[in-house]
This record gives sequence, C-alpha cells and structure tokens, in this order.
Amino acid sequence: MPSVQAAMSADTLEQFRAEARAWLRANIPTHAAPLEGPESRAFVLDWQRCMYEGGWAGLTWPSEFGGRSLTVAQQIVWFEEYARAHAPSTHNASFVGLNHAGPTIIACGTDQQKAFHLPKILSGQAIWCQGFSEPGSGSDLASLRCKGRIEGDEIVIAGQKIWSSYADIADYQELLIRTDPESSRHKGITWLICPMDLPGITVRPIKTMAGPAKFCEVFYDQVRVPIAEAVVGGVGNGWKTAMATLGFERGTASLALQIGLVERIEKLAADCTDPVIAPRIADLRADAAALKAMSYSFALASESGTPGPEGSLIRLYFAELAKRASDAAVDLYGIGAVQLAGDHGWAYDYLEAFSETIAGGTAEIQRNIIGERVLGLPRGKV
Amino acid sequence: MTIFRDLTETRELVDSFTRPAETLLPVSRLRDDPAGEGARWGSLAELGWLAIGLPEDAGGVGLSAVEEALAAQTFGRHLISTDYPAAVIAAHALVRRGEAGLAGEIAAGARRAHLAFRQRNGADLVAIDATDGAWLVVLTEQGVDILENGTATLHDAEHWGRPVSRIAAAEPMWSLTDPELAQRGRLLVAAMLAGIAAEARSRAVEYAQVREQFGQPIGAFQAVKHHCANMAIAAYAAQELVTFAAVSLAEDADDAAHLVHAALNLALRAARDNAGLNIQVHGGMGFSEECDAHLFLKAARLLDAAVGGIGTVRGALMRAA
Repeated sequence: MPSVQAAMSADTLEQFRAEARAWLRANIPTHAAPLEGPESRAFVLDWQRCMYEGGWAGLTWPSEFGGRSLTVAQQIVWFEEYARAHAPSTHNASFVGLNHAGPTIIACGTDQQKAFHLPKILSGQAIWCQGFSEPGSGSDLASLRCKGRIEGDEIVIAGQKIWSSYADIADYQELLIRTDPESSRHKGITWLICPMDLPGITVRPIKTMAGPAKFCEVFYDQVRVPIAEAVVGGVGNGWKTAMATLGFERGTASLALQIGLVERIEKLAADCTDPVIAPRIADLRADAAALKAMSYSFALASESGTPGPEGSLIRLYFAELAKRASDAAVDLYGIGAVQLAGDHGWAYDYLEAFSETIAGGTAEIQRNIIGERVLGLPRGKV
Repeated sequence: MTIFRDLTETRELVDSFTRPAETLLPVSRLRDDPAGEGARWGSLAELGWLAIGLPEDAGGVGLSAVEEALAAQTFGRHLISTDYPAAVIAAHALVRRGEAGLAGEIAAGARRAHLAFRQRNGADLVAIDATDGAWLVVLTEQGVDILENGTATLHDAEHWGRPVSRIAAAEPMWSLTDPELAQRGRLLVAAMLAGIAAEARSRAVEYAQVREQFGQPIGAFQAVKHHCANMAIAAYAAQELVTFAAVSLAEDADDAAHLVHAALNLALRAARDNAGLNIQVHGGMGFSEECDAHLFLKAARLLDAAVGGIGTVRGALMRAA
C-alpha cells in the first residue's frame, strides 16, 4: 500500500523490545517504592542511577545532552515493557527533573546550566521539585505573587509556594516568581533554578488525603540567588519559559503514565469474574484501548511537528479514566483492594486518583481550554 | 506487538475520494425520504464507495480495512443507510466464498442487500430499509448469515425513524463462518458510529457559536462549553480507536479482535452520548423534528440494535483475549 509507511522496521523495534524486557527483568527493584521521606529519595535516585548505568535513562532526551534520542515508537515500546514489568511508577520524585526542569533547561537554558544540571538529573544525582502554585494562585497561575527583587547581580526571593511535590527531599526547585512588581498577569514573571539548601528557605510537608506527606508548602525569606546561574530564559520571560514545560507535560511525558493505566485496566479485566461489575470493566477496557490509540497517535504526530491541541483532550481523558478505573477496582476487589495489584494496592490508587482532575489545571479549566482553544468557542464575559 | 503507522497520506487519500458525500448525501435528504438511499445508490457505487476494501479482481478498489474504516466515518457523518454496511459485508463474504462475480454485482450497485438483525428472542428478524426483495445480511458473532427477503416490499413497522420489516424465523440461504469478516463488519459499524459522534459534536459547537442568549453566544457559558468539550473528547476517542483497530485488523495483529470490540463499545457510547448532548445544546429546537439533531440519535440507536445492543458488545469485549 503506497500511502502507508512503517515508522521503523518492525524487526528493529521487536529487537529493541526484547532488549528492554531482558534488562528490566534483571534490574527492577524487588521491593515496593517508599512513598515519602528520605527513603523515597534514596529509592528514586538509586533506580534512576541504575537505569542510567544500564543505558536506559533520558530515552526522550536528545543525545547531545546525554539522552538516547529514541524514536517515539521506541519510547512507546520501552514504556509498554516498563509497565508490563511493574517497574517503579515514573510519577515519582524524579518526574519534575526528567520531564519539566530538564527539558526546560534543554530548551531555554545557558550552556553552563545545561552542563551543570542535565547530567545530574539523568544520572540520579539530583531531585527537582516544582514551585509554581501559590495559596492564592491555583488554576489561575498567572496571578502569582511570590516576589523576586533584583539587587545587582542577585535576585532576592520573598513569598510562598504550595503543592510542591517532594520539596522536602529535593535539591533544586523550578520556581516562578514575579520580578517586576509593577507587572500583572503573564508579564514580569521569571523562571529560575532555586537550590533548596539556601538560607531563608523553609519547607513544610503536607500530608495528602491518600496518606503520604508528598507535597509541601515552601516559604522564602529573603532568599538570594545569582541571576546568571539561576534565571532560565531571561528575566521577565518566565511565562514563556514555563509554557515550554507545560507543553511537554501534556505531550509525550505522559506516555508512561498512560501506558501504565492501560496495563492496570487490562489486569482488572482479567481478574473480573463478577457479572455485576463486568459491564463497567468492559467499558473501562474499551476506554483504555482508546487512551492507547489517542496517546500513541498523538505522540507519533508530535515527533514530526509541534504537538497539536489534542493533548489537552488526552490529558483530561486520562485523568477521568484513572478515577473511574480505581473506583471500579475498589468495587471489584472489595476488601482485598489493599493487597491486590500495584505497589500499594488499588485503595491507595483510588485516593491518589482524586488529584488527577485537580493537579496541573483542574478538569473544569481543562474543559474551558478545550472549548476555547480546540473548538473555538468564545470566552464568557467576566 | 504494537504496529506504528503514519496515516497522513491515507487520510488525505480517503478524504479526497469521499468528498462528494458533501453534495450527494446531505443529512437534510432524510427529512423527506428516510428509506435507504434510493436513486443515489447507483452514484455511490459508481464512486467506488461500496468496494473500497474489495480486491481488484472482484471489481474492487483494492484498499485495506483502514481506508474502509476511515471512509465509513465520513459516511457515518452523513447518516448513510444501513444498506451501506450490508453491501460491503455481503461483497466481502461473497469474495471469500469464491463468488467474485456476485461480489462485483453488489459493488457495482446492481444487486442490493439490506441489513437485518435478530431480535432478543433469537428467532425473529428485523430488516432495515428492506423496501425490496433484495438479500438480507445478518452479522453474527463469528461471521455472516445471508437470507432471502421473502416479504419483498413489505415494511410493516418503523424503528428509530426507519422503515423496518419483521420477518419470522427463516433458514439462511447461506452462512459464512469467518471471524475476520465478523470483525470487519463490526469495525464498519463502529466507524459509522464514530462519524455520528463527530458530526453531532461539530453541529453542537457550530450552534453554540451562533445562538445568543443573555447577550452572548451560549458557547461562552461554561455549562454549554463543557458539554461541547465532552463531545469533543468522546468523538476524538472513538475516531482514534476505530482507526487504531483498523490498522491492527489490516495487519492481522494479535490484538485485532480485542480492539475491534473495544472500538464498537466506545463508538456506541460516543454516538448516543454526543447525539443526546447535541439535542440538549440545541434546546427547544433540538427537540423538534424540524431540527436534524434527532436523526443522529436515531441512527446511533439503530446501529446499536443492528449489532445486538451494547450488552452483547460488552460481553464480547470481556471474552476477547
């Protein structure tokens, strides 16, 4: 058929799959990942180092920055095998470094920033957290008020951030602050690298409803950072820099999580012998197949150009499917939900899933974005 | 094993040869004449639309299940008669039985076929748009049954706005057991449903942009905007999954049956949900027969019945490997 081309020879891909499978089988940690504190830091760094040494780190990163520049098809195959092997969730303390901060530094950082930070992220020597949300700026991120006063070649940070996952165990934070006090909304914001051990930083862990103290409040009391080392993408240009990161979050970075969810729903379907719950699980199985179809097609399309607006549809589809899947799982496994499936059981997943339709823009905001940017519907009068 | 294909050119090709649907099959045609495609059938056949996936030596275009499914999405948007999947499935079945001549007659529009389904009691048949004595095509779990329509022009009832004939249990003229053919038929129906979901979305969005209340287009209100977003997600998911399943089926991959059942399940829900929301977004007008919104809901429900209902589809999906 002339109009259809294979992205890569099937044999090459299957050989790659065999290598991935063999390596994962031999190397995945045998005990479950700790969810919080210093143990979780050690676990995540160890696992990242292990993948780095095995040549499996930074699959999506360009090779000039230590990555492997794999094709999207290879990334998909890797994540399929990763999910099948029940390797540690990628939604852990390494996520921000590998999927937000690293790619942002690659896109907008200086040569020195790249040389210093990128190898540390890839090889499991540094953990990153995100400092975007504030108590008064949740879905409306552009209203952020955390201040950065420019004094000579330094920025002095004063204010507060919240919902900063793993800030208590992180080495660096990607931080959005307002460096122009006269500015409002998207202007006058700066994206910077903030070491977490600087004087004036106080971190207060916050327990989530799912149990672990995973995210944190961070307070900045006259914290000084050098502009040249810290600022990425230019002073006052932080919104644009941040958007590069958020775009990545809604693109291929989610593949691992999406494939993981598909795998877990397939397990649910295989375990389901209850005729009452079966129709629900059947629908979930169909939805999981659609998630796979959409995310693969979107990722492959992103490879040859900038990601289209469909990413926001997939993101929301994933979030709501994750909630419905864990809801059905708790009903299916009943009291056994604690023991069965996954590292920490479906009961944990069920509670954790409530964050899916809140974090990174609530489902309501996502629907506004879809309505306005994808469908072209008008914004309401405010 | 996952198959990766760039379908950009395939989509362009299918878009180009299905474009005449815009003028040949306006949805408004169904206001006056709900039964079949009547005199238009010859034109559809001439355009090669009944023979997209048929081998060239049987008078077909010689493309795969992928092009067939992409085209069926477009035809679904235009609410093509169920005669369409009936003809395509019958022609495929005939080729597989070694009767390429008869398949060619169907593809050329010279011989007609209508879609029929068994009622819950397992015995009686309901034939859709069967306004003549042409063959009846029944999609079964593992293949297809072909029956003669003894009742000829008798259509004695209406179901979801289409003329239907109820026919007492009869032995098929012939049956074909061929799971791949059954999947192909289900995929065709799923593609039509995905098309319905997409068109219902487009019509709702278009209306929400122009209809004004309280001094602004209703699409500016979040309650309406969010309905539209939900419709966009449902249509996108259904279309992507149908295409993904089509690639798997065309490549004879291990997961083809699983994906086709999944696509049909999802497309059934997307079509009925989107058709319902399109009516809601159209408000009072949407409930009137003068607005075409109801046609999409009824077409979705008819296809639902033709594949045995969503319960059957869910059961099949849970059994698929």
